Formats: sequence, C-alpha cells, structure tokens
Amino acid sequence: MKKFTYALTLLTAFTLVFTSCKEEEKPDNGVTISGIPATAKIDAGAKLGPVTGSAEGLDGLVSLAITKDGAPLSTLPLTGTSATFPFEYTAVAADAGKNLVFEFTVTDTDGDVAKATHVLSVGAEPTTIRVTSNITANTTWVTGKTYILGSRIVVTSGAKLTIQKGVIVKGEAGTGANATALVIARGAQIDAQGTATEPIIFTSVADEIAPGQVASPNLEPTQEGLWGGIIVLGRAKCSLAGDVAELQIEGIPASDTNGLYGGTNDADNSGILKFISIRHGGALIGASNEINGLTLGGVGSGTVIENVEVVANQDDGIEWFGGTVSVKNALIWNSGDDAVDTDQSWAGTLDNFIVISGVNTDHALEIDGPEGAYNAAHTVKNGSVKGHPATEMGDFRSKARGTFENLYFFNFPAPADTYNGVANAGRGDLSLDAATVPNFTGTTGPLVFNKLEATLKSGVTLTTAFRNGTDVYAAEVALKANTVGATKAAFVGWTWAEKAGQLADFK
Amino acid sequence: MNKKKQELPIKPLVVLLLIIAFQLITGFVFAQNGTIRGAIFDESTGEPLYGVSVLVKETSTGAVTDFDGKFEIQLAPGSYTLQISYISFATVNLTEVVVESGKVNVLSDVLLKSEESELETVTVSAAAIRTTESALMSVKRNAPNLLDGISSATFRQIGDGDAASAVKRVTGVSIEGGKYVYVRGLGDRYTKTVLNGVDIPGLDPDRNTIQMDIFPTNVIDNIVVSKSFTAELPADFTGGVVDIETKDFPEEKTFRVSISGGVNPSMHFNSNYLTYQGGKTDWLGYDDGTRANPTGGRTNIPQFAEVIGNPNGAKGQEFQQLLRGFNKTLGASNQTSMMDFGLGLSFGNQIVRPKATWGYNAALTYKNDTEFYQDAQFNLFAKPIDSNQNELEALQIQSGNYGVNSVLLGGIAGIALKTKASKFKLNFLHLQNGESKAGIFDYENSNLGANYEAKQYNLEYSQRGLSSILLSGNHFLKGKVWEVNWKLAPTRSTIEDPDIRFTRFRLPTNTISPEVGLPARIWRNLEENNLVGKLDLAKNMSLWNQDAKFKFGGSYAFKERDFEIQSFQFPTGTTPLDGNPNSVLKESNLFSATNRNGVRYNPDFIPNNPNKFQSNLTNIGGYASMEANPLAKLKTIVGVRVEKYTQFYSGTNQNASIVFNDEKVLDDLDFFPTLNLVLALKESQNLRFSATRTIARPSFKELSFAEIIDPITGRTFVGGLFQETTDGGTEILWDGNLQSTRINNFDVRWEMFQPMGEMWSVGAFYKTFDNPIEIVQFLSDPGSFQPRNVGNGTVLGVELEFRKSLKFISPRLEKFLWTSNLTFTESQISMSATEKRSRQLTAREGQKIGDTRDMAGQAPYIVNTGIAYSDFNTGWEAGIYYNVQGPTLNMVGFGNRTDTYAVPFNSLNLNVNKTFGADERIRTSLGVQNLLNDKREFIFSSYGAQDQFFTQLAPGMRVNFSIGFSF
Repeated sequence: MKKFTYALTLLTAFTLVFTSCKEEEKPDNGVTISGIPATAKIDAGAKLGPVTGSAEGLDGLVSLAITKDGAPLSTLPLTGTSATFPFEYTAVAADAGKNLVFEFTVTDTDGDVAKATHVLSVGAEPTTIRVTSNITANTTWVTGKTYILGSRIVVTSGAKLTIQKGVIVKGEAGTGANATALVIARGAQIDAQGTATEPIIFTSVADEIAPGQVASPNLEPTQEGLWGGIIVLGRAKCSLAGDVAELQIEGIPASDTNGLYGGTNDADNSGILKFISIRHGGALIGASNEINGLTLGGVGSGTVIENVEVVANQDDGIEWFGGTVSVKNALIWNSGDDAVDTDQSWAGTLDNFIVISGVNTDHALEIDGPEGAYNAAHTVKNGSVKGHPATEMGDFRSKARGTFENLYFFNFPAPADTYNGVANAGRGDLSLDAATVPNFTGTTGPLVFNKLEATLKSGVTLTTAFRNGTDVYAAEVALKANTVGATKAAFVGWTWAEKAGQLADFK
Repeated sequence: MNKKKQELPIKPLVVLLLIIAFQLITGFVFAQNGTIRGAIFDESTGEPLYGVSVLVKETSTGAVTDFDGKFEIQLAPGSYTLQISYISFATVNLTEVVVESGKVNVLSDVLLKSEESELETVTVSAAAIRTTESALMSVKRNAPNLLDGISSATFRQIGDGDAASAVKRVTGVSIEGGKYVYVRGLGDRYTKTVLNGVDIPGLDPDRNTIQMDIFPTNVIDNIVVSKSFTAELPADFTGGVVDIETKDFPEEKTFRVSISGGVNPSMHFNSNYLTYQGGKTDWLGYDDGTRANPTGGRTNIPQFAEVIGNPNGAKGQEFQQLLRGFNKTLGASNQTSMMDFGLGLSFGNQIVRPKATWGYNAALTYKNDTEFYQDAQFNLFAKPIDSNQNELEALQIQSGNYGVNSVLLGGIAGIALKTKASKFKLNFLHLQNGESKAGIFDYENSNLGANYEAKQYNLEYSQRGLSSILLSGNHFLKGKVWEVNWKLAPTRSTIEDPDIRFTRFRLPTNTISPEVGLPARIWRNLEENNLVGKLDLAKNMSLWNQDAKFKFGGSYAFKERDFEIQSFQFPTGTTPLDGNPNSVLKESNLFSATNRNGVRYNPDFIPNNPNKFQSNLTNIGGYASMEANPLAKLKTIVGVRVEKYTQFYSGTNQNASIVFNDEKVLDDLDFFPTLNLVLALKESQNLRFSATRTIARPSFKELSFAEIIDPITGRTFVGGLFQETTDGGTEILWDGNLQSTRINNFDVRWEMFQPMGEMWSVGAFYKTFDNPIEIVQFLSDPGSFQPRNVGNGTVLGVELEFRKSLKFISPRLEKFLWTSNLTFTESQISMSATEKRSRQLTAREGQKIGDTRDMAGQAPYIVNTGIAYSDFNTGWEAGIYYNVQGPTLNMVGFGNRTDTYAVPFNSLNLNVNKTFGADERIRTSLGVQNLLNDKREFIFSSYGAQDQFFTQLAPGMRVNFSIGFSF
C-alpha cells in the first residue's frame, strides 16, 4: 500500500510537472486521486477500512463517484481544490470468494476526471470468531459459527446477546481471575434458545467439537476446569450477610463491578436460556471462589431457564445465590463439587432434574439457608439422582429451608463404607446440620421433605441413609422401580449424557 | 522471575578478610607512646566546639579541636592533667588522664559551660565524667526540636542485639512484630525510617518503613527519633523520623569478635519442629535456585486447555516438562530444632596524619534464629445473622504448628576522611536475610457456604536483600561560619518469595477440590532502586546579640519499584490422593498422554497480571529555616519546607480494561511550615512548643490496581485505584482517588534535666488528620480489603518521661537508675456515611453506633519502664525492662465482620552484662526475654460478645547470651 501510494504520488507529480510545462499559459488544470490502495483482502463479514482517499484539482473539485463491479455504489460532492474522503466496505456473505472491483472517479469543474481502482478479494466467511471485549450493544451470534471467549466477556447493562440455535461457544485457556467466562450483568439480557436437535454448547477451546455435534470428539466427560462458565446476574432479592444491598458474585474479582448481583426486583428478567449444554468449566480464583457451570446470582422470575446440561464442571453444576428464577429440565453430570447448590434464600423452583455423580462430586444437593435477615425458600422437585462412592445425597445447612419432593436416589454407597482409605467415610446419606434441624418440623416447614425414594445399597437402612428424621418421608424401592423422580425424555437428543448412554439407569 | 540470583559479594569479602588479617598482624607490632582522644561540646547548644585549646599541663604540649570538637594528643605513658580552655567559656581541668604505651585513652565528651554561669575553672577527674548517656542527654536538651535517642553505649548496657529491640527504649516508641517502629502509637504509615539521614526503601511491599531488626547494633553509632518536624527533615512523617546513624570514626583501634546464642525451651531442641528441604545456601540467607520457578518466569508457557487435546504435541511436551520441573515437596517434615546462634566481627580505627584523619570501620554479622510456634491460631469470626444474638460465629478456624528459620548476614564498611575544614564519608551496606517457614494446620471452614474440615500444609521462603552506598561530605567555610553538607545515596533492595507452597486436603476423605482450594505455588518478586541526593547549607550568624543559624537546602529523591507475582494452581483432576502432600506431585499422578486427567498446573497470571506493576516517584524538596534566640531564654526555629511529589504507575486492572502506562497517579505540591520554640525556664528546665504541618502519602502498592490474594488467609488486597459503588452504581462508596493525608501537629513539653543523667519531662500533643488512609473491607466482597481515605481524624496524647537514680530511697541504691516513659493517647476518626451505615445494619440489639471510632493502628497507651544497674568499677551492668502497648484497632470491620484489635503484649526482659580482664577485653551478657511468657494475640471484638482470636502466637521465654572479645 505504501509502495502504491508512493508510485501514485510520483506519477501524479510527474503528470503535474508534465502538464504544467506543456500548458503553462492555460488555466485548465487536471485532477488527481490518491490514497486508495490497489488491492486488499478481507473475510466475508469483515469490514475494509475506513481508508482515507484524497483528491486534488486546482480548477475546483465537484464530485467523487464510486462503483462496485461497474454498478454505482455512492457519490459524494466535493468542494475546493483539495479534499479527502473516507471509504469503507463491509463484505457480506454473498461476496465470499469474489474479487470486488471498486472504481473511484473524481471530477472537477471543467470536466477533467481522475480514476482509481481498488480490487477487494473477499475470502470465505470465517466459522470461528474470537470475542475479546465486553458486549455493550445488542449482538447476535449466528447458527453455524463457533465463538471463542478470549477473556471474561460481560454483556453489560442495557445490552442483549442473542445466541442462535446450534452455536458453539468455546472459552480460551485461563484460570483464576483470568478465567474466560460469559457474564450476563445486571440489566443485561441473554437470548440463547437452542433446540432439542440443535443445542447451544458452551465448552473449552480444547474441545474439537464442531457445529452439529453433541458429544465431544476428543475430551472425556470428566475433564474439568478448562475455562470458567456462564454467570447470570440479576436484581432480585437475596439474603446477604450484613444485609448489604448487593454483593460481588464468586468467581469474579471484587474490582470488576460487572460482578455485582442482588436488588429488590423479584420479577427481574435476564432473558432466556433454552437447550444449552455447558462443559469442562469451573476455573477458580481461590478456595470457595470459583465459577460454577451455571451461576445464577439474584436472577429474577422474569428469566426463563429450561433444558440445561452441565458436564464436568470443576465446581458446582448449578448454583443459585438468592433470586427468584426457576429452572426446568436440568441435567448435571460429573460435577467437581456439588451438583445442585442453593444459597442466600433462593426463592424459585427446580423441576425435573437428573444428577449423575462423578468421582469428584461431593453433594448431589447442597442446600444452605439465608445469610442475612431476608428469608425465603425454594422448591426442588421431580429429580433423579445417581450417586458415586464419593458422594453424599444431600447436605442441608445453616437454617436451610424449602420443599424437597418427589426425589429418587440410587447408586449411593453406605455411609459406613470405606472411601479413599477412610473407614466410615460418611458418604451416601442425606443430613441436616444442627442449625437446620429446628427448621424441620414435619410437614409444616419451613423445611419440608415429601415423597423421597431410594434404592439403597444392601445393608443400608432408610434411617442411616435419610438422617435427622427425614427417613419418615422416604421409601425404599428397587432399581428403576421408582414412582417419583425425573422424566428423562426431556433430555433426549440434545444432551451429551444421553449420547454417552448415561441415561440408561433413569426412567 | 528468578533470572537475577542473589549473589554474595565475593570480592568485597576477600578484601575485607585481607584487612582483618592485616589488622591482626599489625595490631601487636608498634608500641611506644600512648594517645589521648576526646571531644569538646558547648554545654548550652550541644554542638561541638571548634578551636578549643587542650593543654597538657605536665608537658606544655597540646592540641586544638577540629570542627567536630575532637582532638588527639600523643604522650609518653603516665598520668596527666589536661587544661581545656576556650574564650568566654569556663576552663576545665581534667585530672588523672592515664596514658598507656601503645594504647588510646578515649575520654568521655567534655561539656564546656559559659563563663558567666559558673566558676571560672572546673576541676574534674577523667573517670568521673564517664557517662556517655548524659552527652546525648545534652543534645536532647539543647535541640531546638523534640527529639529522643539512644546511643551505642546504651545498647551494650541493655544488651539489645538489633535496632528493633534497642529503639523501643525511646519514649513513645514501640515495635510491632519485632520489626516495625511505632512512634507515639502511630502505625508505620506515620513513621519514617532513614539511614544516615537518607531514605532507604522498605523491604516489605506492605509497609512504609523498613524492618528495624535487620540492623545489628554493633554497626550503629546512635538512633535518634525526631518527634517534631523541622524544615530540613522530610515532610512525610507524623509520629516521628527514626534516623539510624552508622559509625564513622572509631575513637580507638578496635577488633571485636563475638558469639551469641539463645535458647527458648518451648521452641528449641524440639523434635516436633517443622521444616522442609531447602537449598544449599539457605544458611547464608539466600536461595541457591532450589526454589526457582521452573518456567523461569515466562508468560508464554502452554496452558492445560491448550494441550489436553494433544498431550504429546510440541506444546504438550513442553507442558509436561514444566509440570515435572515443580519441586515435589509440598509438606513440612519434623526435625529437631536448633538453638539461635550468631557471630559478630567488627573492627575499625582512625589514622591521624598531619593533614588528614582517616577512619575506617567494618562489621560482619551473622545470625541464625529458629522459632517454633505451637498451637498457633489464625481464625475468622463474624457476627451472626440475628441481631439479637451477640456471640461471634466462627467462619474459619486454623490452628497448628509452624517453624521459622531466619538467617541474617550483614556487612557494613565505611571509610571517612577528615581534613581541616572538610569531612567525607563513604559507606557500603549489604544486608541479606532469608526466612524459611513450614507449617501444618488443622482447618475448619464454615464460610462462604462451605462446611468442611481439612489439613493444611504451608511452605514458604522469603529472601530480602538491601545494598546501599552513601557518599557524604561536610564542609566548613570561613571558620565555622558556613557549613555545607551533602549526601548522595543510591540504594537497591530486593525481596523475593520464591515458591510459596500451599496444599489443603479435605478430611476425612483426603480429597482436594475447589471448595477447599487447589494446591498453589506462588513466586513474588520486588525490586526497588532509590537515589537520594541532599544538600544542606547553614550559616552561623549573630542575631539579637545571640548565636543564630540560617539553614537552607534542597533534596531530590527518585524511587522506582518493579513488582510481580506469578501464581499457579494445581487441579488434581480425577487423581486419587492419600492425604500425603508430598505424593500429590509424584510421577504417576502427573498429567501425561496416558493420564489426561492427572495433576496439572494452571497459571493465574496469563494473559493479564494485575499483580505486575512498575511505579516510580520523584520528590523534590527545598527548605529554609532560621534558628535564633529573640530573647535570652527563648530559642526559636521557624522554617518552611516545600515538596513537589509526583508518583507514576504502569500496570493494569485484572481484565486489562484499564491500562496505565506511566500515568501520573499523585501530584502534590505542598508547603510545610514549622515553628519550634524552646523557652529555658531555668538553666536546666525547658518549656517547648511546636506547631507543624506534615503529610502521609499512599505507598506504591496502595496507588495501584494490584489484586493480591494471600492463599493462606484467603484475603485479597485491592489497590486504591479501584472504585466501589453500590445500589446499582448510584452510590459511590469509594471513588478510586486515593489522596495523601495532611496532618497538623501541635506539641508542648516541659522538661527538667538533672545531674547524673536524671531528667523529668511531661508533654502533650494533638494531631489532626485530613483524609487519613486506612485499610477498609470491600462492602460487596468481605474478603477483600482496600486502602481508602476515611473520615477526618484526631489524636490527643500525653507523654511522661523520667530517669531517676534510686539513691533517693537509699544511698546504697545510687547505681540503680529507674527510667520510664509513658504515652497515653485518645484517637478519633469520624466515620464515613458508608461505614456508619454498615455498622448500623449489623448492630446488635441495644448497641449504639456513634459517629466516631478509634483510629486504626493507634495504640491508646504505651508504657516503657525499667531499672538499670551499672557499676563501672566491677564491670557489672544489668537491666530489667517492661514494655506494653494498649489494645490497638488493627483492621476496620465492615458488614458482618467485626473490628480486630491487638491485645496488649506484656513484655518483661532481663539482661545482665559483665566485663572481664584488662581493658574490659571480654564482655559477656546473659538475658531472659519475655519473662512473663505472654502470648501475641489479635482478637475479634464485638458488642456484647466474647472476644475471639484472630491470631494467637506463643513466642515463649528465651534465654540469650553472648560473649565478645576485643583484641
């Protein structure tokens, strides 16, 4: 381009000298155009420029006309003896693979013209797009593409991110505060609606999965912590320590104010998440300061979340911090800590869910009470939970409250079993801590259990598995003879767990 | 990060050894005449007298004092009388001055009094003036500003081994954590430490002042603490400036070797002591590379997510190789602890030539101390949710044992040259300190929605190096009319924490998960270079028929700091673990093509590292001040200082959305007026008054975007440049605009000096703080702390000091001296609206929240008292000293966290010295520290609740001894 400009200038100078020598006495001067590169190359969807061209004509400039492949594209009036003009062009999908010819024609008052030609080679539309800055205006990620999260990407207040069905989003490597993640800040919205045949998949760049695939071609469903996760934050009420109005969500450094959640609008709407699968995430900042597969902080009831799968997250599968949002049809497989984790008086409903515990899964259900003066309770119902020798069924703590009904547990160890060389490891049970016991008063609440079923390991009784009196609401059933629990039909077709045959044990 | 290894200065060491050898050989060669050396001072000003005639009556020979007031006379062995006379001063006859063959008799300082005040001639024996402390007392009495000090003579008497333990004998001075100076109970933010009058960088990035414990007392001539500001001092102090002056012209040829040791029954020879395998040079105070970062500090290393898909590709191979380069030791092991021991070597002399006097001086110190804290506690407590419940709830309970081995190697060498009208000094100093820590803790967590018990393993190493060169000159023009002093001092300091290791297993299953925290490794590096230049001019003149002095000058300081932390986490994937920290990184656990879900590393600092920054500052100062006596009894010093201070910062916030590239973060131009008045009520009584303005500026780290996580406490330091807002950004809690604190200081003091070093003083002070900086909790993240300007504050204090011989009880107790200093303060900060609201929100039932609270770091009282015994004839010296500092607000609570307070530590120490042999060549000491066996404690304190420990450490009782030989 530099060479071109140089040649052009030389040529212009030469022409000028030549013409002025020849027609010294006549006031009819020519026109020149410069600054337009001869060629350029961009991908479809990308933008050329703006480049700045300039025109000179001592007799007075009149106009600039631009044609694209011979057809008029635009005209621009010019004045004076010297003028500059910007030029930019965004290549559309139809331009892909073509050489576009742009012709620039400058005219002066007495009809002299100068022409410049630019040939733009447009490559194929890239299928992978790297996102490196926060989304501050409405944006759409389109079907067929893979989007790479180059850092923690925040959809900031007032903006909406639309993700079309089948899109794959991959987080780059990064841990601690550098973990890549997609954050929907308070006041921002997401509209990610996959379908049962074309889910939206969030995974790591290490995953070679391509649009159209559901199972990873190269990663095991136990690989965790390769990127962050999805964090949705809203303005609904939360029960926060010290009764502060808002708090910083875990996993985001305190200095990034996009990490604040909580407020007073219980009907807050953060958008729609449907048919999404989140995998291999959970990078952490420090102990107990990590990113869950799906983190919901103060998310309001106006938000729709249905059909979510979380696989191999290094921390919890889904964690609610207060808020009022409800979630329907959730599947959590191989979570690195807890599968379902609730805190700070979440006041929504989790309906129809499957948990498949893995070697690192600590509690299938980790239910905590309020942290401030505000009290509210949630409902967890219609769930089927498959255990692992490392896993407890449920841990209810810190004055936990809520309704837990129609839940089926199987494949858990006996609490007396030895785990990792430790005898009586205490795995495989559902228990209440001392602070929570007073909340459990049978059917009157605020902590209610109803219709729990389990297929217990031989030798395990209902009272050793369901402790603190919860056994009264539990029944033992044979494997797959459960009358309560999840309906797996909701997970067929779009979940990795189903493709990997993990749902065989479920009804 | 570990590109630059700390190397021992081999060449200077060799030179030093040669000098020592030379000293030893020449020491016994020539001996004929003996030498008398002494110094003469003006009793009324405390300044050295120039041109005083010293006549040896017996021989009628003599000498004239130089501008330092010093003289030297060579004489044949014998006993002489010196007649010391000077115009308009009373003559002193000093009798029984003994001269021995080949030896130097160093006389104590002689103070000459004005003629009109006393008899014409005073006769006194040389032995009777032997109290160095009273000479310093005279300086103290006559100084126009408020100062206190302690000299090397006192170090010997008390047996203090380092500057930290010595300086706390000074009125209103206390030492925090055995290292950092508090003056008048004001924290180190308001205290400044200078070496030979010039700034030296603090070695701890979290501190404004330098650790005092790294200066061995045998290189120190004196420590002077200025408590009121005069224009020639740097303006950034409030509590005081502590000036450590190293020795320059030894009065006599010395060559001393000493060994010392200490035994702490609770810490030493204990087979439970915890340590870990370090490098071969740990015993010299630096790491030999054993703890080097296997990546070499690179930031282009592969990450796990980049290699998991292709473990044996080029990047994958590199990843595997780096992973295997991390030292595999993660847990402490038991070893019987050694006792403390140390070696000291120092020598010096002055060589008198017809035209010049040379002085040289060198000291080497080696200390190897071992501490073992058992049942140490580091806890977190918070207020319960219900406001009708008062008792605090535990969030984290961490208790266990840890061992610390600390090595200090220090070398100082100085050459000084004195001519008729000039003095030059060149000093080199290098201090090397290495500290290795190993701990095993039981950990119980109920914080952040996670309940578990765990076993925690910590291994740490920290090495600090300080190298400083000082070149200075003093010139006297036209007799002593003009005095010109200049100083030039480059200093370089480094602090490295190579390979801090942290591992925590969840119990009882011995698992590692994000909830308990992943194993972590940290490399921390700090480098600071300083250049300080000073020029001071003084003109002695006569004003209102009295001596007066006009001083003016300028100073220039440039400091730059490079700081970087690189930390790694080690997810363990699906690796089964057995609870042994040293097997976490065993080969079969590590990530490979056949173990794709094995243990791997994750770098926290790629691509953005907010904990990497460069800062620099320039401070240009100028001043003018006038010292005069408008009335015969009134001494005044009036001055003004101006400082132009600019600080620049290069660094980014965490997600690099804010990038500062050498951005100006502080730009202050301030005028600091000073007024000091001394009214001599009687000859030995002064009434002092001072009013001054000073400043306290934020540190490099505070004016940054750094976000430094401490893996042990889980707390995060957040740089002051960040904003914090609440209620959806509508309310700004902190605007990110950290400002300097301007302070007005007012002092009044009455003092009475009596013979034999006795004195009384009573004083009061009042300070106002405009925008003081304190460490405040982030409201939205209670685990994060940030320096912020809080509401304005005041401190009101009363000081009482006395030194009294116990002969008033019985004449037999004449040799006992009782010294005490007491400081009581009342501090107040008016709380910001945010802080007040946070306190109201979490107030307990019946608790009233006022508008003010204590100022953080301000002790309500400091008590130092002790009784010293000395008998120069028998060589016995002994002292018993008590020190305590009142409960001090440590960290300001926010939200459900409460304030933490330092609990008074009752320190009672005993020391006994005895000298033996001809010329007291052998000096021994024996002491007991912490006779009361008190514990160091910090507590959480809340309304109506029982206090809970934040930190509890048992330092135990320590018996120390030393023996030194002079050749």
